[in-house]
Amino acid sequence: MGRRLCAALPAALLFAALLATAGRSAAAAERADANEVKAAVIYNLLLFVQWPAQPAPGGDLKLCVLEEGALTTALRRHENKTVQGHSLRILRVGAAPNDLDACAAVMVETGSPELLARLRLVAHGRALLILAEGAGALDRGAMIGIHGDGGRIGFDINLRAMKSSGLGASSKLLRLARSLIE
Amino acid sequence: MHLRARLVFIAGLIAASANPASLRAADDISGMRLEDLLRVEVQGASRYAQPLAEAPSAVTLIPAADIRRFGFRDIGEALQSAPGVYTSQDRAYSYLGVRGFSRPGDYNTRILLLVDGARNNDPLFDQALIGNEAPIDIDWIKRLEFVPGPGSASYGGNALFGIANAVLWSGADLDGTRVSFDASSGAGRRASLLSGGRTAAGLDWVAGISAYERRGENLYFAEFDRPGISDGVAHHRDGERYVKAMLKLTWENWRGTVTASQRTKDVPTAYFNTVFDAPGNFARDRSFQVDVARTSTLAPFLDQQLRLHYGHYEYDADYPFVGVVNRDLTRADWWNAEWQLAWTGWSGHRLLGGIELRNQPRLLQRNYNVSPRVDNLNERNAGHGAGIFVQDEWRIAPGWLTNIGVRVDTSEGASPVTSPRAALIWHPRDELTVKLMSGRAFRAANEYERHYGDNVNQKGNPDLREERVTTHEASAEFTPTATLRFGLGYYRYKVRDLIEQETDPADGLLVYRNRDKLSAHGWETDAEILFGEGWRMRGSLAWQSISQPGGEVMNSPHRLGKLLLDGPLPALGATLGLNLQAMSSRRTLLSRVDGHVTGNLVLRQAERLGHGLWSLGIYNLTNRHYRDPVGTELAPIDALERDDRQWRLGWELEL
Repeated sequence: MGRRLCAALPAALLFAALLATAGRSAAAAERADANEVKAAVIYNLLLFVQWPAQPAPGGDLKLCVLEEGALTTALRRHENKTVQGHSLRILRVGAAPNDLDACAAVMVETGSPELLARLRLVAHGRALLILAEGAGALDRGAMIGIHGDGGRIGFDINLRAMKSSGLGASSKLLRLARSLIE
Repeated sequence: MHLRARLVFIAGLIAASANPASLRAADDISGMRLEDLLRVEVQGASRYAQPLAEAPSAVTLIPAADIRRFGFRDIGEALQSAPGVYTSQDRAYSYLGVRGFSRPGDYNTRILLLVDGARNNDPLFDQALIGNEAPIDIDWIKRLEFVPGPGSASYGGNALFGIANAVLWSGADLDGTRVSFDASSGAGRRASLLSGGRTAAGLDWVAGISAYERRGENLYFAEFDRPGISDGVAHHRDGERYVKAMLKLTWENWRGTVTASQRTKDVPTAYFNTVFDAPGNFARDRSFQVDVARTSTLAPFLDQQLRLHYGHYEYDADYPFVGVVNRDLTRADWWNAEWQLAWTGWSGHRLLGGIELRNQPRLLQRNYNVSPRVDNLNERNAGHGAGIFVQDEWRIAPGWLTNIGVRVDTSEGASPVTSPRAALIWHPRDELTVKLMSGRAFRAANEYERHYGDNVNQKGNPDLREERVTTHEASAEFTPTATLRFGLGYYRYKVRDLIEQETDPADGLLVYRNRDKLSAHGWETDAEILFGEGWRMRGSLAWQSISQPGGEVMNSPHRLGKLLLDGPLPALGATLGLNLQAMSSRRTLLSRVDGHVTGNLVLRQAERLGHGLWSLGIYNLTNRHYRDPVGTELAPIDALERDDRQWRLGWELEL
């Protein structure tokens, strides 16, 4: 059995490579860097999330990050853009609850499940939007998970978690989400 | 080149020859509407980095920030911060113990070391190299992931007790150059250069090189203190040198990594009955690995990843005996080809499947006396194998998640091995997560165990079967407040057909045999608390117990404790990292070693002042004399003392 399987594998790999080539030529010729698109998606998400009490117009809306990775670098491109009348600021913070006082949203690149669980508890008492990367981000505690499966960027929403922190999402977001927990 | 290898290579070339697509400008993207963004084809999607961090297990993540803050000097030292993990060493190699299992004389064959998801254990000794001998440098690691428990359902052989995955930096992460120099006890010095960035055309690059040298201290061994013959001191016989280099390129959806390393260790222990305090007793490991991977999208929700890996490993060692120098010369070349598919089109499911093909065209083991030349062993072999796996992550209902997977592996001359795994995760509320997991894993007998025989001390056993482990575990995570977390876990495992070295009574030669079963169980608990302005304290306790015929298992502490404390010291303008490790007593071959508590303290400048950033680490803070059990090859030494108090002064510069 082992030998037959071994003989079949190269053929399968070759087939896979051919498929890959075919798949590509059919796709759009232009491609983009995943982090750039994720950053732009995150910026757009912020436009359609409703916070209960907005800071005074003209103030800052702080999106906090916990580490300085490639996605954060891409996010900084959107700094100072307008989000619902406020100026977007990207702020690097520590994971202690006090550090998050000023944040309207927090974005976690690759965090441990413990970290997301803790952020959820921080969000219990306040309107803090928790964004995280990865296909399983909702299962680990994120309110919005951003992932790159399927060659395109998509996002999932846990509306129940958002509501329990007093946050809302526009119908447009709910329509575009790949999966939705209500 | 074998036909198979050639075909795989051709497949790679065809995939490579696809028309390069142009890269959209970042400015163009940043102005797009949400609907349009979700339709943009992306490259470099996160598939490479995903699987381990989301494994259905109690994963420990060690980010680069922790590696710096606690001053971890190698992979083993970093992994030792995880609950239930301990290291030991014999002044030639470092060994990792997990769940009470780390038998002296064994190499790290039951742990799988991955670098960016690619297998790095060599196919000859099967060893995961975790000390200075590791194929990568600690500075290149962005994040170290450790997944305890059986991992063969996804990764095949060796993943019996755990998987360590080193995720290397990307150019976009670094975006600059880091230079560091350090000096340490025993006349040690090290220089490291790591640089990375992303060109306008979209080429992401990282290059690293580091070199280390340590003269070593004079070491006293009471076992060799024989008046008139030796004073028991090995004079500067503990030196160590390494050079490591890495280049990682990511372009479009291609990624290529090349790593090269050479580590030479002078061995002071007179192992294998060599002459004590004689010059030229060394072991050298060389590794060269090339990994090429490509991810792409075949259809909406269907991703694939192709990976080709080439590895070369060399082990050379000289053993000075009375009147003759004996030499080991070992060479291994291997190819791995992997194809994975991930499908997310079925709502609530994430399906993953793949095939892996392994080919080892050269597995060479030689042993000879240098002068006069006598050949004791000249074994040349080749091998191949294959694996196929499938797994599904299914969100059954809100708060419920399952992960089920199975993998079948075949190798030359052995029957197929099936490794299943199932996990059920319940997350009823934000404060609580409960996990139940079961799985089986295996390790095939390696080339060394099957074919290393000089017929003077040791003989081979080509008939060895694979060893298997079956594990059941349960864990709960409780986070009552945002600053407090508790974890509790229980596991039970059974190993059967354990491969063990023994003496054949018929001829007095050492030989590896499949032995009886052993069973073990243990508890692990950990807690984390955040307090003050940025302080964090983590602690863990592990109780573990292995039963096997013939009494207590060697080098298996019943209790392990860890405490890690870190936070800012504004008065000093520094951060503090304190790492305490406690271990109960362990059995050695002839007696016992006492339990011990050791601590490492690291102070690091919080912010760069002028040029560069200083750090000072004191290791084994209280100068504790503690010992590790060692294998029979070190006789008459039964337990070996670890390093006394060490210091390391570092300076780094970011450009």
